[in-house]
Amino acid sequence: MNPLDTAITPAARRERPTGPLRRAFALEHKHHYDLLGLYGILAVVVIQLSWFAEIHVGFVLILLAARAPCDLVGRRHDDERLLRASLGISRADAVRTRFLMVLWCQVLLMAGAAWSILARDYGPDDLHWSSFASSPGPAALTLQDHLVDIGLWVAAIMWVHALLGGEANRPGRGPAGARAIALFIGVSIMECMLLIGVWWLVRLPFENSPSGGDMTSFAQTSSTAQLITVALALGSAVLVLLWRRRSWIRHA
Amino acid sequence: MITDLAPAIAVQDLSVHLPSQRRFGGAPHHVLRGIDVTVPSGQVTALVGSNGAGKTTLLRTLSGAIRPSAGSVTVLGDPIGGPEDALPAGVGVVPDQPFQPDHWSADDMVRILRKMEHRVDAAGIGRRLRRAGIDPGTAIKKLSAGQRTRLVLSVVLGAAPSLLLLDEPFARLDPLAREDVLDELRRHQAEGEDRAILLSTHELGSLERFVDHVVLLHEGKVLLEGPLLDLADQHLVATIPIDPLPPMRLLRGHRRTGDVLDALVATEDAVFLPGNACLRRATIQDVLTFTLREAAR
Repeated sequence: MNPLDTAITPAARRERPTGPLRRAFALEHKHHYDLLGLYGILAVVVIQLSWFAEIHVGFVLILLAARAPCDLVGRRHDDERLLRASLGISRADAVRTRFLMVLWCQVLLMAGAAWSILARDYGPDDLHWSSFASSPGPAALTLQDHLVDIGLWVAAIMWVHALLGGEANRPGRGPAGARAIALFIGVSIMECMLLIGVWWLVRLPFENSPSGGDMTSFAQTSSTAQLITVALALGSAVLVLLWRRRSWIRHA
Repeated sequence: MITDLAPAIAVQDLSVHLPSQRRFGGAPHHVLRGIDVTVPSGQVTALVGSNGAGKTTLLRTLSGAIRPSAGSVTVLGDPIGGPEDALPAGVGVVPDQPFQPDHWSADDMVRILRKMEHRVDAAGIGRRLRRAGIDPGTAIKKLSAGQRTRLVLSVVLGAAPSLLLLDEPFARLDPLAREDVLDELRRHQAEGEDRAILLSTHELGSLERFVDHVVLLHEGKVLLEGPLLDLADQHLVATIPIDPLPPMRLLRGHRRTGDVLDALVATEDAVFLPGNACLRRATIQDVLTFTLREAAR
């Protein structure tokens, strides 16, 4: 046999007109533009309701944000994987875009919920669903109280994303929305326990001081404990989420 | 001659273990077990096997949708398998059921295709859709199962892919549509000498004239691989009375009917059979059926 007959030469290569991330984002948008639109409308409706009627409806947006990693998976999870692959999108790029898409949806929902809290006028006795008031007795909630609340549920939502988001990348099944809600409640309870623990630790130095029992020191320790808790919760959530994202990409 | 082209697909020692569907404690499912497969350029390769043999998993792994547990996969010269590996341009994938969302239409699919490939023959796609009786604006969910397959195939062929991966393309087609699709594929194949097709199917009988190369999968392993004509030429079907018992070690699969055995034998072993054996040329369907029967035994 003539050796030239079996010489191996590569077939002609083709280039794609767009980059993989652009294709991945276009596909994510095509899959989820209806959900994004729904989230946007819900955010506006909740803000309106919280101004004029019921402040507690903001919780709907928070729960939806916690569920977002599950809701974006879709029922035909395996089909989506195959579609992405057939469009020349690597599994790693699919994870990157899905991660950003979930974040984007969560930011939209969380911004709506935060806005509904911050934009409302509160009377001296008004509390909202997750208030950790730093001032004892009937006093209006301060901006710090609101920011602490917001920081804590934002951290809880990020923790849920970190804990459940990986299942969205596994073939065969996606995470269940009920688990996301259960995890969110669990993480919120852990944050409450953390807050109590930090408050107890911060209060220790004041216990034996002459001003230990007065209202000023109580407010001071509460405020400090809140800030430390929010910093711990948010910091750990960001770190864990970034670490998990790297792991999802590596194991995609 | 076609052999001067690199293989369209080269699979070496590929294993795929899918995670258990049970939430806790389920063992992984070993779908593919260390297989080697070569899909030559410029040829039509059929991936044959019974249900659960691993055909669809292999096609999904080749497209990059499933992560291989071990081994290497090369598609059109590019590695596929790592998290960052993506299917190169010029590969068309047609699944057994469309993986596109139900509300998509041919127009949506062409729009996406334009983002993937420089050269899209929209007129050709329209022509194929008209032939299949599909309106380009109709959503996938409103089409019959056969029309869905033809829709996806029509769009994919619009990019003139160098490699086509087809999962059970004929399973949902009526005989006329099947002929139409075969003609489309023949035309596509004839338009470029480097074009390769890998299709999975349960039975090869009616595709004998279309297919050049065969890979037989059984329980995640490759039982047979080679050019279709060679595999058929290398075997004979012998009809042998069971009294006296023929030398069973020569038989590569057999089926008993009354007092006779129908058996597959290698052509070179035919001289060792009893003198009362009746011999005929084996078809590729005979080779596959008897081999699978033997493996199942």
